[in-house]
Amino acid sequence: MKITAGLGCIDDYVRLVKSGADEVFCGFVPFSWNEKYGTLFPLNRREVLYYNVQIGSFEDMKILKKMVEKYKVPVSITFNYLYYLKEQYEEIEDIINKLMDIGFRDFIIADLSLIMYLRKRGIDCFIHLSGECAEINSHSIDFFNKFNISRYIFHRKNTFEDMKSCIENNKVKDLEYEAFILNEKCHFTGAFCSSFHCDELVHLCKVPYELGKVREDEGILKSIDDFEEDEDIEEEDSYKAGSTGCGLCALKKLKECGITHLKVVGRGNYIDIMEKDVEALRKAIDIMNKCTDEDEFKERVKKEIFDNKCSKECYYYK
Amino acid sequence: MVKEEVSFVPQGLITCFLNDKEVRILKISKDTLTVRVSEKENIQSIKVCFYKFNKYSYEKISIKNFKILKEEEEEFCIKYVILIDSNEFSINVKESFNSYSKYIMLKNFGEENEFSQHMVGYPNDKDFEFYRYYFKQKKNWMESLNYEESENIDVELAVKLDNDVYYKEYINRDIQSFKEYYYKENFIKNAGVFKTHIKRIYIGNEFCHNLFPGEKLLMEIINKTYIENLNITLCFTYLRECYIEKNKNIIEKVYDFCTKNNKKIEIVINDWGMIKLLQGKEDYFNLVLGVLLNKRKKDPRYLYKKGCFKERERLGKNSLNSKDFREFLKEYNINRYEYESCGYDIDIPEGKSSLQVPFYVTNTSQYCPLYAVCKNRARGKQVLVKSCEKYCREYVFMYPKHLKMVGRYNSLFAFDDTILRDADKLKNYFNKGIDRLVLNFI
Repeated sequence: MKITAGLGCIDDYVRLVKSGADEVFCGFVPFSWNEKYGTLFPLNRREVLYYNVQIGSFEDMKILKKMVEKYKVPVSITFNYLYYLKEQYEEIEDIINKLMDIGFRDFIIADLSLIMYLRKRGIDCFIHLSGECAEINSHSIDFFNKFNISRYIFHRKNTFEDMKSCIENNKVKDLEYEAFILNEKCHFTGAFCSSFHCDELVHLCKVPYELGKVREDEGILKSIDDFEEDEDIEEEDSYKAGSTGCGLCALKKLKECGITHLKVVGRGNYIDIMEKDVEALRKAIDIMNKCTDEDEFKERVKKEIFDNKCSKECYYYK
Repeated sequence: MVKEEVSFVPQGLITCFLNDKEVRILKISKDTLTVRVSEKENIQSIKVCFYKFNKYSYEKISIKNFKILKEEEEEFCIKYVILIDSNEFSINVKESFNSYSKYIMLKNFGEENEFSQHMVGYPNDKDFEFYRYYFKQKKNWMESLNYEESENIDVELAVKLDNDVYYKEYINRDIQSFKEYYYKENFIKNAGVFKTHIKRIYIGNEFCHNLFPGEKLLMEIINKTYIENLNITLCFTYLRECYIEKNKNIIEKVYDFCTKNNKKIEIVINDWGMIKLLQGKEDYFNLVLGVLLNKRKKDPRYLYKKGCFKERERLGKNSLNSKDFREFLKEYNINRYEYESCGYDIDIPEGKSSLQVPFYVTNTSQYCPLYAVCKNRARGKQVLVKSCEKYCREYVFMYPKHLKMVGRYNSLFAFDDTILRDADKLKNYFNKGIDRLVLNFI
């Protein structure tokens, strides 16, 4: 299984590679896009300007290509916003063509209309179907196969049985399948999240809320007044892998499902943290390769990586 | 490092062009720039662009007086350190530093959402005022509306049944009595466009796989709508792999009914995998693109989002405004699109479109967050729920009053009253191509 890690700026590429990443993914947003569309019509799912989460110039992409030529760790580029406007397809096509001229061929895309447009225009790039697209099942894979998708990315809220079934039932063989493994577990599903993720507003799912009742009569739970949601685990000052979302214990099961790539989310995260994330994942993969027994594997991961104090922010419960 | 020099300011905030090539600024101070390029450049011109948040635009400054202080060749790039002699540049650098550092301080150390209050006037002080009961909240939302003037709008009126309570009430009442019940339950006055007879029933939940009626109940409802001479739209949500067979069986059953009774119905799809399940049944099934696939920006705070007013025309568009995409959907028998009224004017394309009012979904999760809180005491402790206790019958997530939002079922919804306040807006939609109003009270 290969590790694909998020890259916020090209300066972090070498460190990610040396920490054990087999692949890296990044966002590319040139000034021409920001000037025309701002963050209201983002090019990918990092809908911000105030963070180092995008690579912004073709010059930097050329420099990145030189790094790739030396270190041989490929880079895929995300164009994974939920949808684009018709007027933007041509501009995106132009950007993708320029990136392909530089030497990049893998693009992560969520918008079916854009995929359709690119294929109609004869752009023969490799497309990874983003987890932000929609639900993935064997019928939807069948539907998307006509667009020559080279990799399917399962969103976080998938069961092992479902992923395994999708992969086994895919008539097109030898494709790649990616699953989330670390960071940014969200209470909702990205593909069905229409709200803003911008500089000036907190994410809608983080707006304060309370458990309330539909009506004043009694409910099946004990009195609402007695109800208190367990508080989120307080962030510790020291690093802990998976503190915002983790699937490390699920590695063995993911491998059995047929998952080929593991996504470490974190474009724009501090490189120190990303390095540690990739190292922890690499260590977990090594443990997995040495363990035949599932329980033994989980026990060793919890002990050797988490010192028996994992975050319990599990992506995959079963 | 030079005094007051900052490294790696995000490129979206300040960027640089050398000879019209965009380059990364590695360091910047009020009189120096360090940039990098892939190959040596004979630098003839420099332009620096500063993002001005309040203007939602960039200020571009051409640098007339500059001097290359250093050219450093590194393994993968060439770096240039450039001395800038420009008062305009200096001023903009200082302003950018001030605004960026203020943002960082507020984001990291400010009170709850203080940065939002500072940047866009978001009323973060109101974020902790909640209603206690959803029924009261809904009443409050509806009672201040006046839609009497929306009379004489010729439109098909539909009602969405998307939970067990509605299914049961519909089965146990005739359509007129059900309408009265529905209107009373949702504080709808029988006035204006709502005086119109209900002509169509939507059956099923577009967001939660556990709120679709069981097979027996579904066929009872379909039978009843048929007897009452009402049109039928069946709504499906995302299709989980483990539910493919179950949905396949439901579809076969419904198709049997349609063929026996020579009755065409609509099917709202929210999953591309549904197309395969519905193939070969175009004689009786017309497909409709559901709201989970008809993607657009939806957020009750949109008035605070920078650029929303300036870009209101673009905001109203999405993939469906592409004729090619609509033609593609037609190949799969998708000829109608479901929209939700969501605060701003939507650009309705050619074709058949429904407008759902007054709720719009902003977030959905296949792993129910409400179930997670009620069962596991934490919204993050989510699992795929196959046998559901239907906590949503009695519980919701209450959100700040000023946002007019609610966490209902496995989703977050916002309440949009704009077209219920303004009959002209409603008429405008019908003039633009909406031919159906769907009441989607939750």
